[in-house]
Amino acid sequence: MDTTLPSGANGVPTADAGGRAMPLIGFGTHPMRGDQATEAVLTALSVGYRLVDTATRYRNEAAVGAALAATDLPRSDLFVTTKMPPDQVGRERLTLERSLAALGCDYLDLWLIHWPPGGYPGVTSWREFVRAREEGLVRAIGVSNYSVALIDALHEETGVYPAVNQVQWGPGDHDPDFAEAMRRRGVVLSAHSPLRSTDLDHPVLVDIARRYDRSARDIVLAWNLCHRVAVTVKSAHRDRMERNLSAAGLTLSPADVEAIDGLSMAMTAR
Amino acid sequence: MATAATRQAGAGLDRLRGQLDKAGFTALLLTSPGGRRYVLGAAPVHADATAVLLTTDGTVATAVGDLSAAVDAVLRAAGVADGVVGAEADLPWEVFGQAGGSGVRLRPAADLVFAELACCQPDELPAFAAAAEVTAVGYTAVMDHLHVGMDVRELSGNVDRSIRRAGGLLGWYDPYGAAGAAGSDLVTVRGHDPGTARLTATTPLRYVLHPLLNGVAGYAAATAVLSRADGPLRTAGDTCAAATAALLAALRPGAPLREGCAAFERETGEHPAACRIVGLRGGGASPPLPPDSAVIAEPGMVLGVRTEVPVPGRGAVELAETVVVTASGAEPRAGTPLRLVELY
Repeated sequence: MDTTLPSGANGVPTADAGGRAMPLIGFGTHPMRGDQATEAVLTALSVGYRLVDTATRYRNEAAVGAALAATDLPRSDLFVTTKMPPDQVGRERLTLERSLAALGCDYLDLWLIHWPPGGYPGVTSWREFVRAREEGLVRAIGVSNYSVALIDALHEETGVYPAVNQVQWGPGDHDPDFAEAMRRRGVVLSAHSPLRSTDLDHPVLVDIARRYDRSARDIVLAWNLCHRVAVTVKSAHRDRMERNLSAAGLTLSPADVEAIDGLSMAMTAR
Repeated sequence: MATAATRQAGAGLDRLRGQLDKAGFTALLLTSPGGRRYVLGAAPVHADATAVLLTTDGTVATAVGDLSAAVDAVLRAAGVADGVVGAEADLPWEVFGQAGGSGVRLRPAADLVFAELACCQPDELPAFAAAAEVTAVGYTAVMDHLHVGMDVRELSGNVDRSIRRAGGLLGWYDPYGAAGAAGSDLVTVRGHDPGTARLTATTPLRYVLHPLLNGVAGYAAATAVLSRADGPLRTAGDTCAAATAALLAALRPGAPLREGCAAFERETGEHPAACRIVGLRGGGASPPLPPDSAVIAEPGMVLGVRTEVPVPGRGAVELAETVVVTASGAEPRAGTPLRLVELY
C-alpha cells in the first residue's frame, strides 16, 4: 500500500487502491435518500470531496447518480464506491449492473463486498469481483467488515487481495496489529463510523482539541489520516462538510497520535 | 354421484372461448389443477372441483368427486350431448369410454390451454415482472445469513417475512416432488438434515420460491451449497447450468417451445436430468408443456422454466426462472442464479 501519493483535490491525501488514487477523506451517503442525498452529494462535491461512498443496501444509488449527472466535475475526477450486500451472493453481476445503471456510471472506482456472506469469505463472489475488474466494469475491488483470516482466505483461493477493507475504525477500535496486517497485504484500511466507538468527551481528546483549537471530531479524523487510514464521513450540512474536509490540513504531533492510540478499547484481535 | 353447477364465463375467458371455436371444439374439459384454477379462479370455494367444462357459448360447469362421474356430470350440466370436446390433461381410459357413450368425442387440447396460459397481453407483463421481483426478494432472504447449522424453519421464516414485507402473499403450494420438503406457502426448501431440520455443509440446499403478488405467481428456484462443491456436486451443478442456458437459448420466437426441452436433453446427455416449461398466467403454474407440443414461442409469452440434475445420494441441483419471450429471445425476470451457488 502506498499512501504517500501526492495530495488530490483540496489537499486531501490519497492512497493507492489497486492502482487508482483513492482520496483518504470520502463523503458517506448513508442513510440519506432521495433529494436529500442528491443535494448533499452535490454540496459535498462543491466543497471539495471527490470520493462518494454508497451501497446497494443504502437504496440511494439513484439519488447519488442524479448528483453525479448534475455536477460539472468530469467523471475522471471522481471516485465512486459502492457495495454489494451479502444477500446478493450468486447475483453479483446483476447487482453490479443495477448499481452502474442507478449511478449512471460506465464503471465504478471501487466495489466492495459489504459484509462477509454468512460469515464466509465469499470466494465465489470474489471471483466475480475479479472478473468484473478484469472486464473494466470496476477499477478496484475490496471488502468491508472482513477479518485478516477472511482476507487471507480470499487470497489463498484466488491469489487476489482486496485493495481496500472498510471497517468500523476509530480511536476506540484502534488495533495496530490489524492495521499492520492490512498494510503488509497492501490493503488500504478504510474507516466507516470513525466516531461510533469514540468518547469525544474523553479528557485526552478534549485536551488535544483545545491545544489545536479544533473539535474532538476534527482530531479523530486527523488521527486517522496520520495513520494513513481512509475515512468516510457524512453530513448533510455544508459547514460541517467543510470542517470535516479541513481535517486534511491538520497534522498531529507523534505524541498526540500516540496518546489517541492509547484510547483503544480493542480487547481482542480481529 | 357427482352433481354439477353451472354459471356464465367472465370476459377474461373470451379469448380462450374464441380459441376453442377456432379449433373446432364444442367445449373444453379441464381437470388439471392449473387448468381448473385458470377458469375458476383461486377462490377456496372452487378448490374441490374435480372437473370443469367451458363451452364456446360461455357456460362453465363444475363438478366434484370421482373424476369419471364428474366429467359425466359437467357434460350433462352444460348440455353437451355430442360434438368434439378438448381435454387439456391425460385422462383415464374409462373417462374416454364414458364420454364416447354419450356421443361426445374427446380430443387432446393441451397445446391450446398451454398457449392460453403462456401468452400475455402487453398490459399483463408488468405484473409478472413485479411478481418475479418479489421472488428475488425471497432469494435474497434465503442467502442472508445462510450458514451451516441454520434451522430450516428460521430460513423459511426469513423468506416469509421478507416476501410479505415486499407485498407478496400466500402462494400456490408447489405440488411437484414435495416429499421431504419444508417451508411455508412462499418457499419450499429441500436439502436440510431431516432429523435436525438444520442445514449441512455438503448437501445442496434447494429452494423453490412461489409467492403470489396481486394474483400473479412468482416462479424461481435456486440451489446453494455451504462449502466448496466436491466432484459429483460440481458436475451436477455445471451440467444443470449449461443445460439450463441451452434451454433458454432455444426459446426463440418462431421456434417450437419443445425445442427448449430438446436442447436441455442434448446438453445433459447421459446424465439423469429433468426439465419442465410451464405457463404462468392464471395465478400459478400450468400443466407442463407436453413433450410432443407444437406450441410456438412468441413474444409476450411468460414461462416458468425449471431444471434439475440429481446428485447421487444428495438430492439434486435445481434451478428455475421466470422468463419472458421477447423478439430477441428469453429474458430472465427474477434474476436468481442459474448455476449452483457455492458459499465458502
